[in-house]
Amino acid sequence: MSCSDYDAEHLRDELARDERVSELGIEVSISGGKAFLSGKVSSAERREAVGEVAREILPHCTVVNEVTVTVLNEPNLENIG
Amino acid sequence: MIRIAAVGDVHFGDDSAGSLAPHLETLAGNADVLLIAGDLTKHGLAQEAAVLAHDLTGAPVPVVAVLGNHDYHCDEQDDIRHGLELAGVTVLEGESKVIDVAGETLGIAGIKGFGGGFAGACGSDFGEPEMKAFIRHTKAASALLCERLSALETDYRVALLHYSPVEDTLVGERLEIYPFLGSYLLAEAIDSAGADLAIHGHAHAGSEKGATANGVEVRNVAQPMLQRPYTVYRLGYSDQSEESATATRVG
Repeated sequence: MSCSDYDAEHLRDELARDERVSELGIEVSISGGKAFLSGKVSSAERREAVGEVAREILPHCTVVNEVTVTVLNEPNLENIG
Repeated sequence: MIRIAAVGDVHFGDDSAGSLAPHLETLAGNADVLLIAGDLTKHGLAQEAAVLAHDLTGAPVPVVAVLGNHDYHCDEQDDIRHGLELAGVTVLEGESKVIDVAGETLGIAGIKGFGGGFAGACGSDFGEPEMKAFIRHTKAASALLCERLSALETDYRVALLHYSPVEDTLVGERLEIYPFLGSYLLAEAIDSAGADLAIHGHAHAGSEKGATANGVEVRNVAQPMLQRPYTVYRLGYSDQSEESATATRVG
């Protein structure tokens, strides 16, 4: 079975619904039989969970997990009005 | 002057304990209230909200929140709200809260809001029941937001939402998903009632700054976009000589 664009959307749906991930903002693109994952999550554990779910849902694709972990900077201040 | 710290989309899970609390210590002396613009939890579980509630327990300022779409996923939104309220957090859904700050009053009208899209590319209250229900949910939320904002007789008024009222703060998201990220009906409500600031989350890949057609400032505070624990917005600040009116570091 080849890796298709349908697979990308099925995976995106599962990444939202799977309790280990619950992410709506992960981009999935298919190219050359590989599934490329990108986006941001809040921890290394959640990044690993994204890859884990992807490998379960798309066992026939090579998963390339390019999701990054958000690092929080110092708070900002802005005057309004 | 009132200082509003705001953040959204903290998406707390069982693995998040202690991730916010250290940042909240810096609120003391820098902010008068903390607003959280929805998506408090990862999967919409009450136990996830309990982890957040524990982190918020030590907040040195009042905390006011709305729920987001994630918080509804497991139909535990009532338990999520209850757990947060037990920890002293005010949760608004079509409601308002007034906070006194050194002789001035801040009124916050809070509601999750919903999608539907923006002028020229939005859904209509027409057709299948599911489509009508979708748009009518946004219409009802917008009407309630207008009502609650209009009723506030405070020095400053803020609309606290999860979904966006404007397109400006969605720039960076894919254009195709704008109708799932907000609605012009929310902006129309804000402009009809008037407000000093509108805060929202939901758009992780969006932009921070925008404004309604009538010039009400809108800020997207989704934490994945801010990449900060929160941002502080000062309303009524007048001493131009003290600090620049543009962004500067708090800490």
